[in-house]
Amino acid sequence: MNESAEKLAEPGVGSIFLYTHEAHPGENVPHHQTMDDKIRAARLLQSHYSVTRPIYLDDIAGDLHIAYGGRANMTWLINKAGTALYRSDWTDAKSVENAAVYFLEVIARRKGREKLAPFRVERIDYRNVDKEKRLEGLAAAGQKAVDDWVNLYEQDKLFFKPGNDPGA
Amino acid sequence: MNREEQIIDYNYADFDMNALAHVMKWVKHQPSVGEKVPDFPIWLLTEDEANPLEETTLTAVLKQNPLTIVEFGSFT
Repeated sequence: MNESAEKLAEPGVGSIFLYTHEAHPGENVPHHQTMDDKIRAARLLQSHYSVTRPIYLDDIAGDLHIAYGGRANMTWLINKAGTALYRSDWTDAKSVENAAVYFLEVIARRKGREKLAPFRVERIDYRNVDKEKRLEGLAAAGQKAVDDWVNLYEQDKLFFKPGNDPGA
Repeated sequence: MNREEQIIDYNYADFDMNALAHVMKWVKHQPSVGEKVPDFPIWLLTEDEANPLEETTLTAVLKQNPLTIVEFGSFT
């Protein structure tokens, strides 16, 4: 997402990372009990994954995160007036870039005085799934994070297995 | 649920079926596209170890650009 953020900054798209609770707490990165815990975890993310976007923290009770649906790694695209234009269950750079470029075009078309009316679209997007890479990331958080994730993955309780592909 | 219970509930210690149930409950109430999103205070993580957080609001951040991508996530 860092590359997308850099690419989209010039035409006027801001990008932020909003730090939530730990989705899969582990021994090294446990659940937060205080804002200091959350600050430490956010700094770790920043250095470990070289996040170059501004990182903002939600409060310790997750008020914002819960109000937006509470998914672990969702992405929203929101305009200056505070209207949600795009909302995805998971984060995928190609998906959000595609949406951002489309909405930049809409802004340009409005400036060109085209008459436009909004309508609702639903569609399925695709993201890369790399189980090994995911487990590597969780291993840095601790074995408990790995075990909890694997346990639900094997029970087919996670929502992003390639087997759920409706076929495109 | 009082504030203290919400903090414990939200910051679950184990990712298990109970944690998943929370997420499924929250998802049902998320705003739709086309709607104005709710505003909340958020805190910018600064480089300053003595003052690591700078308070603002999501609305204030959104006003800085015609469009803003907001990725939610954590280390884990």
